[in-house]
This record gives sequence, structure tokens and C-alpha cells, in this order.
Amino acid sequence: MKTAVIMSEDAAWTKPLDVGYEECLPKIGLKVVDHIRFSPDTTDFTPIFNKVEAAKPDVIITGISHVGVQPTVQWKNQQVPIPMFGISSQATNETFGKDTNDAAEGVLYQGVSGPNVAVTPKSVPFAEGFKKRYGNYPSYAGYTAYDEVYYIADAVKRAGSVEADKVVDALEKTDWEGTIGRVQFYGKDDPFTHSIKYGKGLITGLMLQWQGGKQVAVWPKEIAKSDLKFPSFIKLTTN
Amino acid sequence: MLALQILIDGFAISALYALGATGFTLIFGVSGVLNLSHGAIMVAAAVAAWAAASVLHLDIYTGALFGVGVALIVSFATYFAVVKPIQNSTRIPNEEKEIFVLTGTLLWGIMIQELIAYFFTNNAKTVLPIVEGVVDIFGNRTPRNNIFTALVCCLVIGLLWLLVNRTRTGKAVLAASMNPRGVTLLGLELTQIYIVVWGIYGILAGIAGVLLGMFLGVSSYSVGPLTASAFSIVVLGGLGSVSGSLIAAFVVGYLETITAYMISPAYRTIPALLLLVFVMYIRPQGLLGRR
Amino acid sequence: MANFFTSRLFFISLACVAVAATLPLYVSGYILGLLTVAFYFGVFAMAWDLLFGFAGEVNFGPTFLIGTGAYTAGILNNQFGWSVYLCILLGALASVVAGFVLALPALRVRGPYFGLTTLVAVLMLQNFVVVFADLTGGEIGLTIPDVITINAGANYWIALGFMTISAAILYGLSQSPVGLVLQASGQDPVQAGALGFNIVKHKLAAFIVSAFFSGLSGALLVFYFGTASVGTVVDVAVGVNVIVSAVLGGRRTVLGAALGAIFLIVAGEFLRPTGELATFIVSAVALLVVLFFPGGFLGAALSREARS
Repeated sequence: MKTAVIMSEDAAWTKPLDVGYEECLPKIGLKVVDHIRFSPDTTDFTPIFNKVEAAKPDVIITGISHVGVQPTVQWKNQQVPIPMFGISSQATNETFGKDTNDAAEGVLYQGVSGPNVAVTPKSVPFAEGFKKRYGNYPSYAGYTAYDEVYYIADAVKRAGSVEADKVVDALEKTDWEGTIGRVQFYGKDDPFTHSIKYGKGLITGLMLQWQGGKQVAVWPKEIAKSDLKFPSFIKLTTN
Repeated sequence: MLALQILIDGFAISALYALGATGFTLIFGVSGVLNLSHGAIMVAAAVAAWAAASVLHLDIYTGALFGVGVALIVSFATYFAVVKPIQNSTRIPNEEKEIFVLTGTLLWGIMIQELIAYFFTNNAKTVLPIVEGVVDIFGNRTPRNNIFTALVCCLVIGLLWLLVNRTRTGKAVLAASMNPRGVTLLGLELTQIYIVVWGIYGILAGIAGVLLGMFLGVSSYSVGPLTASAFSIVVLGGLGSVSGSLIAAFVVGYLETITAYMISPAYRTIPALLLLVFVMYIRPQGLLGRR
Repeated sequence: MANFFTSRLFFISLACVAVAATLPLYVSGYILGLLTVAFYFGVFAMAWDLLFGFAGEVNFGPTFLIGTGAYTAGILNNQFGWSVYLCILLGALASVVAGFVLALPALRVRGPYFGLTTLVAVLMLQNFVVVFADLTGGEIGLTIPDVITINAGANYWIALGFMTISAAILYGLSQSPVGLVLQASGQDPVQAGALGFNIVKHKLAAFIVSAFFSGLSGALLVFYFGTASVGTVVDVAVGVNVIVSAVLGGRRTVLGAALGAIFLIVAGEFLRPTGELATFIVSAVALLVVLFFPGGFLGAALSREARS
């Protein structure tokens, strides 16, 4: 793969994301040949996919959350021959397959955890408990919110107070193993002030793919359950 | 090349807008009702068609029929539970009935929207298309479903035209839209005409909803935007004028598509809104409005 | 006007405000916070009622005026760090300008056509917020560095005082000769015009007053929240709540609109345990009121008083 098109909804949260995409994609050898931002109210994605195709990229890098089901279904109906990869919040929902009538097949998305994926020993029991209570597996927000409640409670306990400054001090020292990995934060003098630390042994995130109507982990290798599989209309360029 | 692409893509979406707006304008023409639960009825049809296939495991055709049936039922419910009581109320002064119908149908639409969200979540849903695959039109890969959508819309609008102009019932409806009092003088029951119109409306909104579910997908969030877009198209075309609505639907559909292709998909809806404001200023009664 | 001060309504209102003013002495900050928002909403609804109930203009876009005031105040504070009070004032003025712009088509088109124009205005504002996310914070919301105060009791008193003063002015206006002319021109513009009243001038005035209070209230609300977002001050759903409040409370009563708004917000909070069904229940109750008590709460009460 040599070229990519970034396709994000025009929203405040994708602005820093797109800057990151623009910066990082060339570093792994992907040339950004087009960058499309579209209204989050968009319902007809035909013009967007046609534009993407005209740029002849090897992969579409997505930054979508307000939309998800609709572009995915139209991607399949229009048989856009390019794989989609990136952030797609709605794809983290277990109901995404049914909502799209399995047009989700082959969609690759970034997740924090997923069904049957033991990111940490806590992940699977939480996901199963969630399903038992609510009928389906949690989306990304389910995992992160669950962890947040615990590490904030932990910080309050360590601070021995709910006073803001003390809790912040305690939060800076957080070292909590949650369902998405080991949570630690950068300090207040770091360029990424108070951001979550990513990396091996902490939080890596993972890539999942819709396969056979299920969300299957495909990266990192230690927890991958399957290789990449794409529907027949996708034309993959080798490596 | 690009022109052809815009021509093909714009047609399907415009035809769908036209179908959605036709029923809306018909009801206004005949009974002076602006039905703000319009979007909710369309979404109910699409979600019902989705549920029929995904939850009840019916085949595609039965599912689509089921969706249209649900729209028909909801349409009658709208008339009997909300619109008719307001029209017949003695406690609401006549000059205020319009705002009461607007408020009432708006609340009714929100109720339907919330029920859909409660039972089927607010995730977007898509109906499995009746025809799948793509065809090549002079180098433009076009989903068969787009062509199917456009054809069904044109067919249904054609049938409606025949119904209104060539049948007795249809002529009564047409007469009622021109002069309701005159129709009653001819011995026709206005209430019966209203029931026929709400029936036609339910079927039109149902077909439009199911097709929308196949073509683009809908969620409970689509309720407001769908009502607003039908409302805009109908006002742009001139309230009560079916042919005006058809023209306006194509103007809006193509304007959006052209904007998405030529300028940026981020500004898709803006030129159509500006056009609407502009028309309101220079020709308040809309393109073909009688006023 | 004079007999208002001796009427039962006046004493009931006075008693309500007096009781409400003592609340911070014995109820929790949670309830105060809830009522603070409800009071600002009450002003939105009263300002809307002045336009609809009296000038006869169906404004589907109250949030165009509210949002303009709120975002103007918020952006000025966020970008330039000007003082809170200056920002609030400028927000209200921006809203007056917006009301003026909105009034222009209103003087040309009527009924549903005007309704749509106002709806489009809201959609445009929403698009603006999303497209200019650098300035407005987009869908994440605008962070506002300053607040008026963080004391729950003080915030509550400010909101209550603001609502009471607004109510007095708006109600007084509606009962004055100007209000009567407005009502006449809303119901039968031709005849009102024939009687020699300048309808255009009166309606324009109604728009400007309505816009001023909407914008002022919107600006105060963002400095209470410390944030402005589409979901709280611009979204069509917020506008729907304002309209429902006014219709619930009783249109053409001004004070009823405030009651309706407080009811709506408090009911929404009580229904929180019902989760996603809360909005459904509130809409259903509102629909029942519209169908069976078209005069609204206050309308029903007043007509009973008038009969007895």
C-alpha cells in the first residue's frame, strides 16, 4: 500500500485527529492523495466515494462517529473497491452488523477492547457481564467509562479528599489496570498534558475487523484471533 | 464525465425527495394541514421494514410491504388521534387551528421518534435492497438500487397522477383541494375525502421511507431533518402545488449533489437553504404557489 | 393595567416569587441548579409568547435568537476575555440585530411561510457553528473562561430576579395599548391597519423586544453553564421545548409560558429514572394538554376565574 485518502466528518473532534493522520501516515510510507471532510449531517455518500475513488488510493482512512452505518452501507452497495480503515465509532457497537445488514463485512476499526478479547484479565468478564445485563456487548464508550469510574474512585481514595487539587495530584499518579489496558497519565509539564499514555505494556489500542457478522481482533498479534478478510468487491493492492 | 456522474447521482436522491414531499403537499392542499410528524412516519416505515427482515426474519418483499403498512397505520393514527380532534375542537378558535395542528403533529412526531429510539435504539438502520449489485453507465459504476429507487419513485408519482386525474375518487380529492366548500355543496362528504387523502399520504410516505432505508439508511435522528427537508421543498415549490413540489425536489436534490461534488461535501445543505431564503424574499408564495 | 395590581393574579405571582426567593435557605444545590436553568428557560418561553401570542407570528426558531445571543457572548469572552457583563450586553445586542434580520421576511410572509423562514434561520446558525468550529468549538462546545459566580444560591437569585423583571416588563407590555395593537394586528392585520395603526412598526418592535430578552437570557445561561453548545442553545429540539412550554402554560398569557417552562424542566428531571422514555412522556402529556386544554394551564385557570 502506498497511498491513502483521509475521509472525516467535519467536526471539532476530527480536527486534531486529521492533523495527526496527515503527519503520521507519510511516516509509515502512505502518501495522502486527498483529504475529504464532509458534513456530519450527510446522508448521501455517493459524491464522497466517487471523489475518493477518483484519487485512486490504496486505502480509505476514516474519522467518523456521527455517521457510520450509512457510509458503510453505501460503500458496500456502490462496491467501492477500497478497504476502509480507521476510527469508526458506530462500528464498535455489536449491533452494527445487523444495522447495516452485514454491509459491515471487512470494515476495519480501531477499538479499545472487544468481545472475547482479553486485553487485560478484566476485559472479558466485563464484556460478558455487560452483555448479560444489557443484551449486547459494550461499544468503546462502555469500556472507557467503566474504567474511568474505577480509576477516579481510586484517585479519590488515595487523595483522601474530593478537593479538586488533591484529586488531580492523585490522578496524575494513576496506575490502574482496567479493561482497556494499564492507565497512566502524562504530568502537567508534559507536552501532552494529562493525556493517557500509549505504548506497549500500557494501552496500545487494537484493530478489529467485522468478519462473519462478528467483531474480530486482528492486531496486535498477541491477541489477534484471525487474519484480515475482505469482501470480494474490495481490490487489495499487495502489501 | 463529472457532469454525467452528477446527473445520475442527483436523479435518485431528487426522485426520493419528490416522493417524500408529494404526500406532504397533497395533505396541505386538501385539508390545510402541515403534518410535522412527516419525518417520523417515514422513519417508522423504514425501521419497520428493517425489523421485519432482521428481527422477524421475513423476506425482503414482505418486509417492504410491512414497512408501508406500518406507515399507513401511523398515518391514520395521526389523522384520527391528533389532526381530527383539533379540527373539530370547539375550544380552539378557528384562526389558531393551524398553530395547534403544527404543535400537535410536532409532539406526535417526537413521540413516535422516542418510541423508535426506545425499542430499536438510535443507531442508524438500513433496509436490505431489493436489487443488489452495480451496473456500469458510460464508465460510472452505479448501484442497481439507485436506478430501482428512481424508477419506483417515478412510477408511484405517475400512478398518483393517474389516480388524481382519471378516477372519480381522485377528482373529488382534486376538487377538495381547490374549493372544499364547493365539494360539500356537491354532496360529497369532506371527512371521507380526508380519510382517502391520509390513506394515499400514508402509502406515499411509507414507500418513500422504505426506499430511503434501502438507499441511504435512517435513524431516529433523521426524523427532524426529514420533516424539515420535506417542508422546505414544499414551501419552495409553493404550498399545495404538487407540480411545484416535484420541481423543487429536483432543484434541491441537484443543488445538494452539485455542491457536494464541486465545492465540498462539508457545505452540502447550505446553498439549498440560501436559495430557500432568497425565494422567500423575492417570491414568498414559492415557485408555483397560488396563495 | 391599574387593576392588575389589585387582581388575584398579581398577588399569586407576588407570593410565588416571595416563596421562591427563600428556597436557597433550605433546599439542596441540585434543586437550585435545576430551577436556575428553568428560570432562564421561562424567559425564552415568555419572549416567544410575545411574538406568537400577541404579534401572531409563529416563530419556529426561538433558538436562532437565543443561540445568537449565547454564542456571541461566549465567543467574545473566549476570544478577547472581555468582562462578563459587557459580553452579556453585546450578546443581547447581537440578538436584537438577529431579530431585526428575522423580522424582515416576517413583514413580507405569513403563517407557515414565516415559520419555515425561522426554521431555516436555526439550521443556518447550526451549520455556522459546525463549519466555524475553530471559533465556536463545533459539536464539542465552546468553553467559556469566566462565570458570573459559582455560588449556587447567588446564581439562583440572579436567575429568579432576571425572570421576575423580564416577566414584569413583558407582561406589562402585553397589557399596554401597544400589546393590544399587536394582538389586533396578529389576528386581523387588515382591519388593524385600516384603523390607522402602523402594523409594521409594532411588529418590528415586538421582534426586537423578544430578541432582546431571548438573547439576554441565552447569554446569562452560557455564563451559568460555563459552556455553550448546539445541544443546549441552538438545536431545533431546544426551540421545540420553548414552544411547548408556551403552549402548555397558556399562550397569550406571558406568565403562563414561564410556568410551562418550569414545569417542563422539572418534569423532565423527575422522569429521569424512566430513562429514554422521559421525552416520550413529556411530549405525550403536552399533546394531551394541547388536545384537551387548548388554553394551557394558566389559560384554563384564568377562564375559570373570569367565569366565576
